[in-house]
Amino acid sequence: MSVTVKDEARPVPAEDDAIVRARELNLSFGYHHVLKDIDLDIPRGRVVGLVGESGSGKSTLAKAIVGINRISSGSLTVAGAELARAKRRARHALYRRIQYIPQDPYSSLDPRRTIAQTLAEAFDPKSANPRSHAEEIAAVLESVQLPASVAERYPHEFSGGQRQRIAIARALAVGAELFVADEITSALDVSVQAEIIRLLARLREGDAEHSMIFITHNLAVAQAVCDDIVVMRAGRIVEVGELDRVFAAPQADYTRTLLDSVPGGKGFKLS
Amino acid sequence: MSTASRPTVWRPAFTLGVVLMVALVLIAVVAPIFVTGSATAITDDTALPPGRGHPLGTNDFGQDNLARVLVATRLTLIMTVCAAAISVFGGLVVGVAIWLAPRVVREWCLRLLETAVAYPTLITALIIAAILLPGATTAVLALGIAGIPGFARVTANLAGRTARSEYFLTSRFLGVGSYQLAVRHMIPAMAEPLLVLATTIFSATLVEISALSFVGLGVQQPEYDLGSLLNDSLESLYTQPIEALGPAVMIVLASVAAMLIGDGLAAHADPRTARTWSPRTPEANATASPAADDEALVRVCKLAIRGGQQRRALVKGIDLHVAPGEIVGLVGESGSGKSLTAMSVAGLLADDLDLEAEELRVGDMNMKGTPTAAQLAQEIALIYQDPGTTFNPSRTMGPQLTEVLRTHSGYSRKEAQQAIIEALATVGIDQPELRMKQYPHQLSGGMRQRAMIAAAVVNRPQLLIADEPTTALDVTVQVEVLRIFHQLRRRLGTAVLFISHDLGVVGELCDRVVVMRDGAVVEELTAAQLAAGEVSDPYTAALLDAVPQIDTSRGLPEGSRP
Repeated sequence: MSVTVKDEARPVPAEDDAIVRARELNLSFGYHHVLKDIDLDIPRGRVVGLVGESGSGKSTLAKAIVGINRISSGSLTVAGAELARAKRRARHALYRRIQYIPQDPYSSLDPRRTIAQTLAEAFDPKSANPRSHAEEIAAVLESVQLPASVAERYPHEFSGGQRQRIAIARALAVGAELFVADEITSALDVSVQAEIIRLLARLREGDAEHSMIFITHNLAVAQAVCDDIVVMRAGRIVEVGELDRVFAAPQADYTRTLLDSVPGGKGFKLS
Repeated sequence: MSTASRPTVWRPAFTLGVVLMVALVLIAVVAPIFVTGSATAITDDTALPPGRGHPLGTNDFGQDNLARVLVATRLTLIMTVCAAAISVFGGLVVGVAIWLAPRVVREWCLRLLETAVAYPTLITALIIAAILLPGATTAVLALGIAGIPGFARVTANLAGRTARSEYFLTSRFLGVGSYQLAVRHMIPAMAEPLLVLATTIFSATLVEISALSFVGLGVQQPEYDLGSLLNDSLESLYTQPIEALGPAVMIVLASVAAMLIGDGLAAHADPRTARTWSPRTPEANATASPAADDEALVRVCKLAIRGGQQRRALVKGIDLHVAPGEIVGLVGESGSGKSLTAMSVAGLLADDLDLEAEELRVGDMNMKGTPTAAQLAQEIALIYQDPGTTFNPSRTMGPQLTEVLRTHSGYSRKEAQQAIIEALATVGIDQPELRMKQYPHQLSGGMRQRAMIAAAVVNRPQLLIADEPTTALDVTVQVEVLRIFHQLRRRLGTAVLFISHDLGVVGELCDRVVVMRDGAVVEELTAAQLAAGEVSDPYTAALLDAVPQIDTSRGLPEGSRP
């Protein structure tokens, strides 16, 4: 992504080619075993699609990676640090190296704060003073193709697509290494979804530093955005690989079923 | 929502409350300055009835009753404000802190709080007051502390709503500290409801503080407040009842004033209570007389819908028709008016919207009028978007699926059940008898949606209106549901009006596609034209372009690509 913000406090990343590494990861909510023996490596600088149907555990896994969900057993290393074992302070430092972008643009911005206030909080969580970050705010808004003048307005004055841009701008403002985007285009109209897809492609140009986990149930959107794909079903990973290769020659039956279910696709049949 | 269009808070009841409260505060400020003399001076005019110079008479010490009531108002109001402030401030801190604490601490604190709420405030206050030395300060402290759990419980509920919101979560992951989270996001979000609750607390505290003084645990001689005045009047209640009147009226007035202010603020905070609209009047004639050569099942001519404060045009004079047995797709983005159009065809347009049309009919039913429920149930069936909310979660599937048949088609319970079981089998639901006895949550989303469709077509309606019926479903389930629509038309010849935002889905299923934008029809296409990309309108072209297409050949080696 094109906007990077210098952060003195950020520790030097460990020499490691994987930004996320999961080994025999299990996660249960009470008696409900949601993630089962997940082994996964997400390399730096890639956009990885996490696809699957409802109940497949894709959102649960993403939330474990950002630290919202606690894993039950196994190991999960994110940006070189083990989240579950990290002390409170270290965990908070790690939080700023990973940014979660939620699905619903209508609930991801505080309705009582201006866009500038919201973004200032990302630059400086302590003071959150928009005036001392005016230039950075304008720059980050420009990177998501919004004029600097929107900063003084409130979330309700924006459409769903514009709000999603602001949410992306906030994640960029933090200067994270890993972005976790949870169905960020699902609640949008198709034309707005196309805008967001173009925006993501533009932000990625010439950027090999940042990584992104892109969760979606829409395979066509995944193909438009991602380099690699992880197909999940009922809490397990059924297939991992380079996206185009997986789509051309799926190894798992389930991946094939998914591909054949896409309306307008080659394998789609109604009768 | 602009602030200009927001209705005024100054409605009569609220205004009355504010006027009363201002008057009481003025009395509290002024009275002690001017009438303390006649309120405290002991004279020989003891126990006089009301008369000149003494509108409420005098007490056993010859002090003027009215003057004493006016002077006592100050102490009562001050004590009430202090006690209420302790409850509100303490409750706010506790309620917010609970949600910023780690999960385990929070759960324990919430249970503890619920236990504390179970004890009546006044009893808790009595215990605290009895332990400490009775007096004004004790009464304030006792009631203030006793009021904290109640206020904290409500604050915790409101704080919990904010704490679970995505913006709060995101801020937390930006590394924002607890104190800042509370001040920036939590407290502003609940300011309005808490203000309303604070007025209720004020009014309850006023009564309770007077009660404490009345039983002798509050203000002590020689000081006096409204409660202790009531106590004084008790001894001579039979000989001099007028002495009790003053303090009683004052307590009621202050309490009512606070309540009225609270009600007014609450009504203002919830704009729904201020909604002013008159429902639209349907046409008297519920039977349509289609033209002799008009074979269409659904005919919509120049349909216009207006709504909102400014009566904005939401649908702008559109034409639409559906032939018997035809599947027509109605496509558009949010705000295009596609759902409003479909709801008008179903006769289910919300009452606060204006509807105009030259013609709006389904079969021979005039949908501008009000056809009977039985007729509607026979002719039109509806499928909604979210199979999770169309069923009542507390009842089994059986009675819900057979309801229409039993109510409108004269089936007995047994016959209806048999018919639905057969219908469920035709849409590929295994063990239909068992499903009838299950609750909605025991079925998967796809199964609920298939059950809904099966039940909808048992009556053999001529028209099926489906509002985004596959949007909430997974792709593999979506295929199954689309297949069922496809089979239905082949088997029963049911016409379908299929609303969707997904051109891909519509292209696969429909015979004809109507594209809407901003309340107008921009283009009509056959499925073949859509598949070939033969569109003439630039908006349709842009819409088609925006749908990402899956390409399974990109990963193939150079030579083998088609």
